[in-house]
Amino acid sequence: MTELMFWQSFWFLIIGAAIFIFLWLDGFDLGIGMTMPFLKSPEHRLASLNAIWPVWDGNELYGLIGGGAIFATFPVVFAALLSGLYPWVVLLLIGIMMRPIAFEAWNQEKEAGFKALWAWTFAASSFLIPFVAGVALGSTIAGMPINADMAWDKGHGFWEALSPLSVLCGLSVVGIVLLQGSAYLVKRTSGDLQAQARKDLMPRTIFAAVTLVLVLVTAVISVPELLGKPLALVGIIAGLVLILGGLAGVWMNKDKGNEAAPYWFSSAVTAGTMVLVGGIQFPTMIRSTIDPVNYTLTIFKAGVSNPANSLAFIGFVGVGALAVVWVITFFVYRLFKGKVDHKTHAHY
Amino acid sequence: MDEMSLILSRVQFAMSAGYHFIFPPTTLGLSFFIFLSETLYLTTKKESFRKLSSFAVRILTLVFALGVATGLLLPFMFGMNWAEFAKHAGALFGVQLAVEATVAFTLESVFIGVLFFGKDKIKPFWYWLAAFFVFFGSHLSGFIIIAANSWMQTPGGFSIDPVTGRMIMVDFWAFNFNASVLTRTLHVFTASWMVGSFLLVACAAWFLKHEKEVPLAKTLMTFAGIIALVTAISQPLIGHASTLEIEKTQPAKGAAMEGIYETQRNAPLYALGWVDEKNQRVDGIPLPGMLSFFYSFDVNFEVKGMNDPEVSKHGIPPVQWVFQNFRLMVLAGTSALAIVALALLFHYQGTLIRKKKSLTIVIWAAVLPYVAVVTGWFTAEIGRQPWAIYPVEAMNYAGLSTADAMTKNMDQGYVWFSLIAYFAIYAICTIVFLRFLPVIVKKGLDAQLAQH
Repeated sequence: MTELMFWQSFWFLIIGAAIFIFLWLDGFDLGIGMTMPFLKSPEHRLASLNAIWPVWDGNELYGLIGGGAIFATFPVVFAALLSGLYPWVVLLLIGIMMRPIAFEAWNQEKEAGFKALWAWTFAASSFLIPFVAGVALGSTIAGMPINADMAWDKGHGFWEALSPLSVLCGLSVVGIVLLQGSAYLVKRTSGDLQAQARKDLMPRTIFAAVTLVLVLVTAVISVPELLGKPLALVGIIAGLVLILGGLAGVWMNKDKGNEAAPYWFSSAVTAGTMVLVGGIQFPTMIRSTIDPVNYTLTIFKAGVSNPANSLAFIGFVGVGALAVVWVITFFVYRLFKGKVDHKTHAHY
Repeated sequence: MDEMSLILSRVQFAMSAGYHFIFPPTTLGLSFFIFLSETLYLTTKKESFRKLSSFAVRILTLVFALGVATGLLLPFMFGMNWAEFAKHAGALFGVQLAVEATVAFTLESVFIGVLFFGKDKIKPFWYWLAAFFVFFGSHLSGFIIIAANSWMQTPGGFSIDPVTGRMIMVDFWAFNFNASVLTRTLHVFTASWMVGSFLLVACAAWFLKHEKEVPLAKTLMTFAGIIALVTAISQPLIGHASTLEIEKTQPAKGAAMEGIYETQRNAPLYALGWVDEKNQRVDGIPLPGMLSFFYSFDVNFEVKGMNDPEVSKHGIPPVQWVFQNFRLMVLAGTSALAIVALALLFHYQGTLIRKKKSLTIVIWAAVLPYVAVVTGWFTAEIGRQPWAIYPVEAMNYAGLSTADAMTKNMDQGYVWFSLIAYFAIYAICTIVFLRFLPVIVKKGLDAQLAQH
């Protein structure tokens, strides 16, 4: 293994880790946001948002860190992914932009009709982000019409990003996020709201389990070379252990028992999913449907990544920066730990 | 190449960056004010400073949310519309954005949460430290972004990979501390403090006009007014340093800003004017010799014009746009200075509270620094054209033109779609901002932050 290959693999791992942290942390607030308007009483709606209020924009940052890392290390992948999936990325951005706007407006609004409108906007954008991000992730596995120029071929329409695998990936990311959301509410709330969150755990566990299994089966069928990849079997086995163990743990703790357990077990499901995806992808970044053998963008393909010294430099900067971020994140989660209700953070 | 896609992509980027550029300067300005108030509170223990800082925090949460919403899409746009730029400069520009997201933005977003929710949870010193981190984080974030943009104007710290033709990072510090970064950062920081303090002066004026919470409003008028006055006075001097730097590194931009075509001594400064680009002349009000004087304190100084081959060797930007935006910026900035100076004079005399019409003007004057910030931004970026990354002869670097920076085979329909979508979101953003900013302000200077 050359020095360049080491750094390319290192960054594959870091980008995967950033996506995992994004799904893990932003996952619970996306999941809570998605179902917030369905909660019956205004007190419950406020309490559920109080659980995520001080931390949610910090969580969203990991999406940006993941994207920024791809930009900095694999600029060709960044360019091909975003220019190829252009209309889908616009949908994702609509979600990303509307969420903070809707959150602020919902918080300030007094008139019931508008408040409901903002609540639904918040929920819709909380759905759009994981779904489109999941479709995008799925389409890198299933493949895009990448040509010899290392870009989306002009003769292919944007709908080609939709395949059974990519849509299932979208749904399963939504499933994971929903599971994280209710598990987090069990951990952070009490009373009726916590009881409701516990009730939601069962259907969400089943939904996540079914979609994840379907993703795996569809991936193996639709990507013939998948099982031959170097880390595929390790990734599938380790991922499945984490996923199934996590799902079983959520199931066993869903009705009673430790309040924090469902959250940590659902986090294991998220981790397992990313281990599985990383395993079946490595070293692919975007599979080409035009010519999977020659046009697929892998991390090792010539010209896809920046040179070794660049990758190493960013590696040191990145690790240092992440250390700072983790200290800060730890401090803030400690500061705002404990149970919340609708009175925790008053309107301002 | 598709000309229309290029125009639409440029309009889209100008609209998005320009609109986003309303909020971060406000964040910087407010965080500066909050940090000052918390410092004064810690040293003097006067409750009024704590109250004013909490008031600014409440505005900051709205501004920050909108800044995040409008800013998140910008890095995506480099991959979507400017894929060739992303590939060419990703090793430098991408790193810079990743560092910004990881360090600076995390600092400010996390500690704004602490400022808002943590007031009664932590001791005053730690709260002061949180205010410092919001101040430091937002300014660091501002520096990193302005450095990246300055690097596009005056590139440095890279070499070109002979195989791929793309850039390689050679020196991160030379990338950041490029030729134009210091004057430009200072110019943007001062503009931001102006924006924030004029907003707070307008709030104070609103309370004085309606004679609510008068003692606290007077304190705010004095406090924010002094910041507004000092920044508005120093800004033209810093801006001047910036134009001197532009004269050296981007002479075409400098000549376009002043509408100077022919190289001349005793060069005029146009107070107002209209550029006749076809006949290469400016119709307007010239102040003879003033431009030469400004450049070197000597009316006989020779100012190089756009027809000088040395000046136009890298092409010239759209002159009218650069010229008019520059004038609008100066006009907005100086009017803001005049208004706040008069307001402070009346305030010092104790007559301001009776002058209701003057107070209305002071409230609306908060718009002026925003006009200056956005037109100043347009001056800098339109003046950079036709380049995305400016050529550097000393490094043998031929530059990257804006046309070459665009995604190959850009689909025009896609750009229409995103342009309309973003426009709609900015409209919603504006409605939300204009609807809820008054709500937050009218709750009072002494309203509760968040209770526990």
